[in-house]
Amino acid sequence: MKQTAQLFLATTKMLLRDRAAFLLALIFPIVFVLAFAVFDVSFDTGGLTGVDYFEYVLPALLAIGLMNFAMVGMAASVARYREQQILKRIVVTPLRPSSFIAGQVGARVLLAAVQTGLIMVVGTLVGGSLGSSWPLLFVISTLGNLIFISLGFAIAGRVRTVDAANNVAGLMTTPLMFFSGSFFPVESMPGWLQPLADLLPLTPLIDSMRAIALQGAALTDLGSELALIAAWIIAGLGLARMTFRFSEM
Amino acid sequence: MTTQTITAPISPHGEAGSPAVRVEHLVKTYPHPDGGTFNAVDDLSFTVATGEVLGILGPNGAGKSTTLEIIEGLQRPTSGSTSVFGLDSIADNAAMKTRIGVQLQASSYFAYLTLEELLTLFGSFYPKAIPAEELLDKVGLLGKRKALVGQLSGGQAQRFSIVAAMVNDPDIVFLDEPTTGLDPQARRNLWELVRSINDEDGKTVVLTTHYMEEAEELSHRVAIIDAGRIQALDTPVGLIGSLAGDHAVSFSAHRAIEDDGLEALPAVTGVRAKANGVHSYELSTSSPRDTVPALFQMASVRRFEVADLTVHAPTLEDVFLNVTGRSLRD
Repeated sequence: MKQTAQLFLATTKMLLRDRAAFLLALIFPIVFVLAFAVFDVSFDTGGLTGVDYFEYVLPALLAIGLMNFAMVGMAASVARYREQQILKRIVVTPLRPSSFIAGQVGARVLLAAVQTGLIMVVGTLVGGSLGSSWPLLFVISTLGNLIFISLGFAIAGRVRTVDAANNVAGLMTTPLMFFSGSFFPVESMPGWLQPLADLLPLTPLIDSMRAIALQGAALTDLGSELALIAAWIIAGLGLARMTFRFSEM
Repeated sequence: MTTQTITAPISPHGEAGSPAVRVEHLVKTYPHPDGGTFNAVDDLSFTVATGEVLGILGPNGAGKSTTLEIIEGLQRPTSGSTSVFGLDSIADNAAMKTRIGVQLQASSYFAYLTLEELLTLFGSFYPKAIPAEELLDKVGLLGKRKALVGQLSGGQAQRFSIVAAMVNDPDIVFLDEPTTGLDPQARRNLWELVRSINDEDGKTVVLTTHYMEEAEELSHRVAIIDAGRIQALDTPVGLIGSLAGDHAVSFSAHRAIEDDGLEALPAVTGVRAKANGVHSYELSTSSPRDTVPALFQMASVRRFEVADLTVHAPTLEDVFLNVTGRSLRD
């Protein structure tokens, strides 16, 4: 517990002090959001009437931005520790892998929450509507971050270099970006593909965030999405613990 | 003539009690880049007595770091076993790690944490830890407590990594090439630190090095390792003594010296002509005080010059050469 707490504290400090990386993590999604705000596009929004495309897409942008920062950021960060032989120095101590994972994941979730807040503010200022239940959106975002940070860690467990981490993580986020109902509704995909798309980790996130922002959904309305999210959190953490190795031992 | 001064402390033979480290028939095999395999560690066995400083001396690639990393539980041996204070490096991995301090040859610390934060963090990994201030003070880095590792000089960084190895107040400390890359002054400062760790703090120390002087200065016993094997293991005095007092007399003449006039000089046990185009010779002799005057006499009679005369007493480098047939500096 003490180990995890110390690691959580230390990792938070490190994430804040790496100014370049921190700025990138904040600026990228904001720019993303602003870019979309520039376009005025009418689209078939899968049955959600009275909503323009930007409002339809904003929750998904939020989710995608988080996914990238979480998964790629976490994978690259741990891969860098391995490359620089920081992990090697840790292996000779009795630190348990689960404490290491918990401390790192915890700190990243905290930072991701800050990022989420910023995106929400900017998105609303440029005309998106996120509804009035910000706290709920926050909660869902945090749970989503937990999924992708864990998956990022799982990737880092097996790659040796930062480049490999970026490549593998990018390989996974790219299809997720398009097939999870972010820009185009899942309903517009071929029938046989839809159940698979619904099971992807990003889909329940986008569905629930969209429902909260545009339809004022409450926690009780999101039962099936939450179940999927919970399943993916368990799967993500489990994968991270299973695949992560401090060293070649 | 020059007298050999041994400054290494007296060996505390502790074989009666249980040793701090026990290495038994250690083998580590790696795939060879050209196909097949090779043994980086080739059936190594030795013990380290509690309270001693064991120096492992050998050239690069001799298997020193690999041996240390296996003892520290960083790598698995191909066969054989290692244990520290009776705790097996593999089977009792977690328990063993709480008892040891490790300074690695190549590794890093988190770049964005201060020295103080790093020591606190690493301290939290152990059941009990020494406060960061105390550790930094010990190596004169208290003024740099808020500095990042990247802002330290080479010598400061090495001192930090050594003191970071002591954050859990271990009974034994492993140092892998602690002074490589340091200037002579920084190197001497580090020797002081290592000595105090052993003398004052009473910790057992195992260090690897490819510097003969370092092994000689710091160690109670020295293990000479080459090609994954221990070629000799004894106190520095004992190792040098095994050379039967072979001093080396070197000089250059202005012309080649024919026939075996040099070999016939008193106390000479061997002659080596150095092929560097300057007619240099090296005589091995058991008694320079007899050989050198006779050399000058021969020089005056046969009319050759004796320039750049040096006499040096045998060192561990000579022991290494004698035992492996190669120079330590290769």
